[in-house]
Amino acid sequence: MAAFIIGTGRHLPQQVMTNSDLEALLETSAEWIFKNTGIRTRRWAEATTATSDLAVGAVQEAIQKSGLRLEDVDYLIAGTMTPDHQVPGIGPIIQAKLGLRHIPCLDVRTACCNPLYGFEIASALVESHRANHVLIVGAEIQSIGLKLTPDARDVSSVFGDGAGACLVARSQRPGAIHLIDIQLFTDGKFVRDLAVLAPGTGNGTRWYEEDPRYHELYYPVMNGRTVILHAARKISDAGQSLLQRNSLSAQDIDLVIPHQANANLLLAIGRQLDIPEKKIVSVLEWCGNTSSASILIALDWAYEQQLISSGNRILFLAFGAGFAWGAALGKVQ
Amino acid sequence: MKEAANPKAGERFQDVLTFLESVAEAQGVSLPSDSESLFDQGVLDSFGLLEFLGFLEETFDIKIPDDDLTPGKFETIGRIREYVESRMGH
Repeated sequence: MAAFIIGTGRHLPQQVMTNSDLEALLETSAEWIFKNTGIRTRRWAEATTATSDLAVGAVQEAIQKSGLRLEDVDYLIAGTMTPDHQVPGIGPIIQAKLGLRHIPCLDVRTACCNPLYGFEIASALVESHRANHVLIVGAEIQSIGLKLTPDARDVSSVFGDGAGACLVARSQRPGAIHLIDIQLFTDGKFVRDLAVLAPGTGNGTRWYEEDPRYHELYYPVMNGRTVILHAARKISDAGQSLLQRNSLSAQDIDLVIPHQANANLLLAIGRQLDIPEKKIVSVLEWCGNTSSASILIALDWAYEQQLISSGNRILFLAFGAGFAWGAALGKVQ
Repeated sequence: MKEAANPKAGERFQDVLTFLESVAEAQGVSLPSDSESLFDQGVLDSFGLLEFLGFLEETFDIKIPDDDLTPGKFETIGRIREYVESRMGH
């Protein structure tokens, strides 16, 4: 593969929600949330902010760090579960807000795996010379869709808002991450174990149903036990499989940048892959689970913290709704 | 509690009970009866279940296939016993 990540950025809303802020709503304790998730704070956007606003902030930072100009971008891949509108996706909205050229803009809908799908599609585009500089952005405003009652404690204590972005190009430069290999998987048997079911056509009701019995369908569903079992197994298997087909072992990996789902899950994956905790990048404690954005935010933060050095091998791991999961391997130039 | 039909499995199933007893003790709860939910009784949560399945795989030298990664199969001691017996050739 000849595709390189050459610039990253992130943008988080200002409002910090602490675990203490959620105690009364979810009838739990701040310590319970931290113990079960590894999260202490997350950002929640103001009602006047749209998902595309966060995306634009992250993109501007990524463009600036890459040294490119907006007119250099010739393809946009956006990922979100929480678009500004049901139709169209946020790609065209980001394009208009940034004043990008009339380039192709698409939305991918693979939830927490969106960054890996972005890497895969961007790599194919630059390698086939269909594009020179592909912009990938993941953004979420999940807070407005959360059910803030005790029965939704497991879900609503986890999610945060934010955006991350990166540029993928064919030409390398010092510090760029060469995307060496990517492997993606799907098992649609588990669609209803991790989902937001409405609005949609699969519910046997109207697109918008006024009957309050259907209103639960608009809240996120997460069958936590099933999700954890499958996430731990599938992420580890994907990581091992990718390492194996590149004739590498866990010891060859310098840094793991996983989807930021839950700190306990990250530790379990580390144990299964035999990768020590210090090599696993985590931003969970201060920004929670930002779904489509999480890997891109963690990547940008890892650069900022100078955790990424020339020669490093980086393993990206993701799992999300679908179930969709996968791994990507990169090497820092 | 009922003995497993396979003597070998039965012997090793005692290890399962010992494991669950130690988890229950750490959680400050009692081990429930064969038919009560280990989740509802506070013995296993999502990550406890993950750890427990790792223990089962190691103890019985089995790989639990993806299709069996269903919490309901391991919700009670009775169901765990049934699962282990089915995997040990019964």
